[in-house]
Amino acid sequence: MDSAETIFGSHRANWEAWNPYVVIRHGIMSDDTPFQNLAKFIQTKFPNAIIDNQPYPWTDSVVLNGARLARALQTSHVADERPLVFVGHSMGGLVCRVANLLLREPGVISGNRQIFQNYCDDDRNAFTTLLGLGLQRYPPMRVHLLVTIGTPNSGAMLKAQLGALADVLGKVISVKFPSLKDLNTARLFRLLQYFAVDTPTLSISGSGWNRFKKSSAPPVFWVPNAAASFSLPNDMIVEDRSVDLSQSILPNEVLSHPAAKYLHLRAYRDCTDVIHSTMYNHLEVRNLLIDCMARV
Amino acid sequence: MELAALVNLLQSLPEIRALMRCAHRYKVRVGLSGGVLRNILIADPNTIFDDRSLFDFVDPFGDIDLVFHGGTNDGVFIQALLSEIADADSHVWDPQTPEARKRIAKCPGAVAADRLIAWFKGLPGEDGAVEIEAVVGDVKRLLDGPLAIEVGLAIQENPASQIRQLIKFARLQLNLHDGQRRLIEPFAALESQIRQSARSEQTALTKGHSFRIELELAQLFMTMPIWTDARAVQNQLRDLIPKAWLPERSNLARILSFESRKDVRVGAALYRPSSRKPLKLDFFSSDPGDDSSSGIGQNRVPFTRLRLDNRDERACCPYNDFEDGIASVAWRHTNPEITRGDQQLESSEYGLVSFPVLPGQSPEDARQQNRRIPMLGYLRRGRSIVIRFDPAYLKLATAREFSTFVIGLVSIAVADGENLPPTVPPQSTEPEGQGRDDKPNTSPKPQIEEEEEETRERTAVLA
Repeated sequence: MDSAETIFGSHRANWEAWNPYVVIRHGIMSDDTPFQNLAKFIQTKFPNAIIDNQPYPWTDSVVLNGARLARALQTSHVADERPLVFVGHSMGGLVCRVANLLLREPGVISGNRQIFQNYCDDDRNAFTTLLGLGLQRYPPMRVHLLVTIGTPNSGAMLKAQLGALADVLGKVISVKFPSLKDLNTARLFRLLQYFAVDTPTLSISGSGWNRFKKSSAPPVFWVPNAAASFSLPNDMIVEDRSVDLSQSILPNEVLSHPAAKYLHLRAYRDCTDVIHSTMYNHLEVRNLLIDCMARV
Repeated sequence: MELAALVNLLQSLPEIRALMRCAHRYKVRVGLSGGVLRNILIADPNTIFDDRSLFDFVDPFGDIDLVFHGGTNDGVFIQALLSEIADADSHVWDPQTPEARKRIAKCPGAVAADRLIAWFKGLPGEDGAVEIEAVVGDVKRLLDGPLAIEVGLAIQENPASQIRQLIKFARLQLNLHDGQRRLIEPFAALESQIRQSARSEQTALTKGHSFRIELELAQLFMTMPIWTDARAVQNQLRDLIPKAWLPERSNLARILSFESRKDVRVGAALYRPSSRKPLKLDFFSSDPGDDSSSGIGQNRVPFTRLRLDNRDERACCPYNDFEDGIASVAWRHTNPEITRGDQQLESSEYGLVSFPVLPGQSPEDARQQNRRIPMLGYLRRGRSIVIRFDPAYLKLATAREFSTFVIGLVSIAVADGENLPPTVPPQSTEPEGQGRDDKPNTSPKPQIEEEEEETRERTAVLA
């Protein structure tokens, strides 16, 4: 069975002294604030690290946000000098995957116009905006580790799952946000299937459950604002099989690479006591993250 | 419309481009026909926006007719479309054969647009990627007058079919300046037929016939360019149809006798209360005092009541979107100025929300006191504002403890800035309408403890 040891190797000697540039990106309907504790936690484990935990316009498309992130890192002298680590929660993991691709292959948009135009199809300005970022003008950057936490990595989410997430967070969501198209259709996964990158990747899932299992028990999102204080079984928002890239129907840029180093872990063997919107605050999840960072 | 303009317009629609790419990938020849193509041909150029969508041309309670040659696995293709195109799952896609289109093109009441199929034969932008075919007649002539009557209305044996056919005919012809004149003869023929039928002791319309007439009336109300034209058709039908024909407790009698005041919104909702129940159509009109009826205020359309069947029918399987089908709710204003404003609606600024309603509780109280359920759905601007959503989700989100909901469209800016109602635990202790009276429950069960109890039970099972 795959483990962090077999995929990423042993802990480095003196790993605590590592000085990575750690990018943390939140998911849909969120911002950087809930991730401040995670940022502090990483900082205590890696005192020499620089943590980049920032909000972004999550209503925009995943590719546009990924491209903006890539561009920001390309032009950052601090990030340029340090090993780069991406940590993305939920949709933030998809943003990180796109940024990773664009950093590894900065010319990928200008060199694959049709693929990106198809992705931007219903927004004529979106492709121009992407191209206008000029990512191809910069040299490739290596990403040392990509960690996705509860990210729907391998397939479209149900409208019901997105509605449940909005319910948990107490948000009203527009029917027309471009980011929802990335989550509710296959357009992003159809784009990523054409590429391959060799970045070591860890996906952490909080759920072993598939879909909304029908049972007499009320769904988790029935009492939304109180949900965080409950001990509730399973992630319920993003299924384990959706988080795991190896279960993806379409090929993906992580596993398509011949030298792919990919590991999928569930935070809990029996997948109990974790909920999607706060799983990054669980010690088990954080320990998995730190453990992998100490190895790559 | 010119042929080149139609081809360009079709290829400018992102859903059509996605459909073309899909067809190319699946090596399928697919065509677009029926009501959507007709609506594209007759669309007012002033209301076609840069960010137009194929779905803007779907009738409020209509579907999208795709034409496939025999032997094509259209089910697999449509499934691919659903995963490819945002909001495709909020619409009904109806696969047809070219032969079926030919039959439809020869039906009484058929207009020129019904005889056209737009075939997609290549990738967007390629030469000859879109080909317009006339199943009967000449393409140019049909495009020149898409609402020209190709087959006149015939006398149907069943007056109910005749009424339905006439309403649809009126819906199309009233888009033309001389539409009223074109209806004089068909209404005279209907009157004569109804007189004869009445003499032959015609019994009440069946529920099925009544429903189909209601549906045609709903389409008419929600799509007419001028509201008073819709009212004129309604008035004529009210005078013509003998009261003895109207089934007891039918919507039809209510719809025919509905008197719209000057400034109100008129709405209709079409949905299945559960997967095993037939489609249900409800009509509404807003209170003139409601600020939402004038298009201002937080909610753009009045909150609409839905009555669902909350009994668990298929407890075995994982949940899927639209298990009970798609619910469509459409509202339009009787004031043309406000209707024009609805056509400019910035749909990205609105979101769908619903509130469960306790037995005996008014919708207003429900909105004040009960929990808000945000949900994903589709919103279309136009003469009528149309929302499409998954009604089964409401049952799921409330653990099937409620059967009545109100759903509305709220401004995101306002909704995000407002204080959320406190998270009130659900006060219903057992599903409504199942062995209990309809009085509000005055002693709410401690839901939190119940949740914890449930959680412990389920955790124990998992462990």
